[in-house]
Amino acid sequence: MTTERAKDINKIRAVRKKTGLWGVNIKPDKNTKIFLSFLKIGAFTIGGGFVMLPLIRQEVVDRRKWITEEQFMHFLTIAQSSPGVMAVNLSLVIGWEINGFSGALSGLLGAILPSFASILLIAIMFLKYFETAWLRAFFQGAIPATSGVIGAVVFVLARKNLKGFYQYAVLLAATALLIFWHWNPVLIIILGMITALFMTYRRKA
Amino acid sequence: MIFWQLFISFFKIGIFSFGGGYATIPLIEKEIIATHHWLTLPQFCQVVAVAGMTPGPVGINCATFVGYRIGGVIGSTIATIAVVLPSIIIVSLLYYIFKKYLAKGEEAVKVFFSAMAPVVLSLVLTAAISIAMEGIKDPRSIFIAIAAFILSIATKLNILFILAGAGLAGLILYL
Repeated sequence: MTTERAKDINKIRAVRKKTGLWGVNIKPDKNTKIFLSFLKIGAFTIGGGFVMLPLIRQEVVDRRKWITEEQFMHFLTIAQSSPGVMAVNLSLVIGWEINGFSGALSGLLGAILPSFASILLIAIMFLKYFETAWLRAFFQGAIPATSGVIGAVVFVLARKNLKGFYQYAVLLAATALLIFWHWNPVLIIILGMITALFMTYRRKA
Repeated sequence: MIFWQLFISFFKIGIFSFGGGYATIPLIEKEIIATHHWLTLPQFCQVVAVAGMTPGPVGINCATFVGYRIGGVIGSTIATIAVVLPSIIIVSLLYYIFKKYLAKGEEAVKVFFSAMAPVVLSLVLTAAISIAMEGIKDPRSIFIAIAAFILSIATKLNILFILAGAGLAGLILYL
């Protein structure tokens, strides 16, 4: 009799878990979660796509645990190898992995909606008031910090994904080519791909 | 038809912009100012400044802003869709290939991506360094950058809080 009662309670609990306390399904589905995650990141990162990178990594790898660190590195490679807006590419490919095409569209919408809405708002109303001393001081503090957190994401990803002296040498050499000699990023990516394919081929043979 | 031209222009920008963010701006500049004369240079500079100071990727911000200037809300919607459409197609294709080969022989894919990792990270490091070169002007900003770096590596603090805190520090230090 006690076991039957326990079963009943478990059944009720299972139903509650599914439908929420008030009999309404209040639990967001996966696409909503993906959308909200990217919306949050898109809404609060100022200064472009590379600022979104550390936040996306923290959200999908550390907090939500949707993908692993290694997968994140794979997807970052895919996002950098495709043309277009880097953060958009990253939201698309991570969305694909979590929940297929609908997941990809949810991630994309979340990533672009805040910028679309805020730019429209500014274009329509606020352009006059945009240059204020307060805002300038805020950015004078925030912009150095963005370089710090982007540097930190490189540090974390390098520690997990780079092995041996050779790979660190490539990282520094490629960065020097980009910064001091202003090489085109496309050229760097293509050269990297050729080298990577060559190494893959040699490993196979 | 202006909307069609807008669509084609930003579709092109979506296809040919590599490297993300500010790397795409020269291309947008060429398309918007030199080819179509939709904006003047000062107007375009204002667009870039606003795009860098509002949330979200710079490419999307530029598309929305220029689209609005040329064709109102409809124009901005068309430009934004046009700039992400190539991404949707190409990323989906690459993801499909990636999944297919990953299923076939995991070892080869792992070697390939491992060899690509330093190259990909060099682009991110370059972004960090260029922002630092632009944003770091005095000892106070060096301190903020180093503090943000250490906080985001050593703690589990939400990065949004780190950035907001840095902004507040800016209000205190620079106002």
